[in-house]
Amino acid sequence: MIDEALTEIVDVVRRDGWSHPAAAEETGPYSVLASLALHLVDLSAAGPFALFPAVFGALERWLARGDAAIRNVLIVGLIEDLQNISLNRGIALDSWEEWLGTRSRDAWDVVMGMWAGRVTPDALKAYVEGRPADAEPTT
Amino acid sequence: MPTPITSTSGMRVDAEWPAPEAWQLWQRPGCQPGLGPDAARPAGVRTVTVPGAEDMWDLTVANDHDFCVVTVNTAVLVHDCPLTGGPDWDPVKPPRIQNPELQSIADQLYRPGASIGNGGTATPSALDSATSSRVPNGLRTWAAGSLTIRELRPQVSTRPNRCCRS
Repeated sequence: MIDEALTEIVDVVRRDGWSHPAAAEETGPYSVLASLALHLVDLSAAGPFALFPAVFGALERWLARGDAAIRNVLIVGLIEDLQNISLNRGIALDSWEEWLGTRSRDAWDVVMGMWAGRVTPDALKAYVEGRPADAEPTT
Repeated sequence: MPTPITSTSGMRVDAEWPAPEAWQLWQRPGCQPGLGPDAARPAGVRTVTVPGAEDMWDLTVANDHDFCVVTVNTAVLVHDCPLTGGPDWDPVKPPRIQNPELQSIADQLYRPGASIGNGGTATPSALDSATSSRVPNGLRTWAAGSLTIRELRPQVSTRPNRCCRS
């Protein structure tokens, strides 16, 4: 299912000419999404922004329907990558707000909260897995 | 004197790596007599057999804080260190990636000023690339996918034995 989610998101950007800088057998979903995030951050500086609605639309859909593994890839992968790369480049994080849907904005804020100390790592993990923060971790 | 190993509740170390049928500890060389890197099974360390897939909880080795846990076909680098920042916080960096372009991307994934865990999302991405395998779910750990013990050895052996609990 991760492959399905990844394909949907990545295909949007592939149609725009982006490609991952490594062979498929040399990488995995986190590596692909890190590269994709870097491309999006590059675009965020000056555009074009045409593919942003499709990318973030797919992100929103998969955050809603994905299982814990997919949410982990998307939240700890793509969303946190966008934040970290942006911060390393001095790009204001609120510049991404216009592209975020309800679920992706929520996930965005939870990741921000974790780094700010407002959300514990355990609570972040619970959120990613879609369970109450005080519930036992899934196995 | 066997090295005490305790597994406590608290920090969860996700274990979805394949077939954790036999767990074995490999400690940083020089810290414990008889626990050198060439020991097939370090003396004084109990091997714990875990049938099937189980979560592994907060594994701690007394007096040493960087060690590897080895399963049948997976090695996991463990840095027994507080998850959050403090004077002893000293994250284990993920392995270097051979592809320079991928390494350049991973280098940008560290959170500026981070003091939690490994400091960003570089670890899963780097492990993805370094191991050519899917990193298990649950990432704020130091799971190393299918890295071999030989690949992990430099990560452990070059680190000072800093932090933390015991």
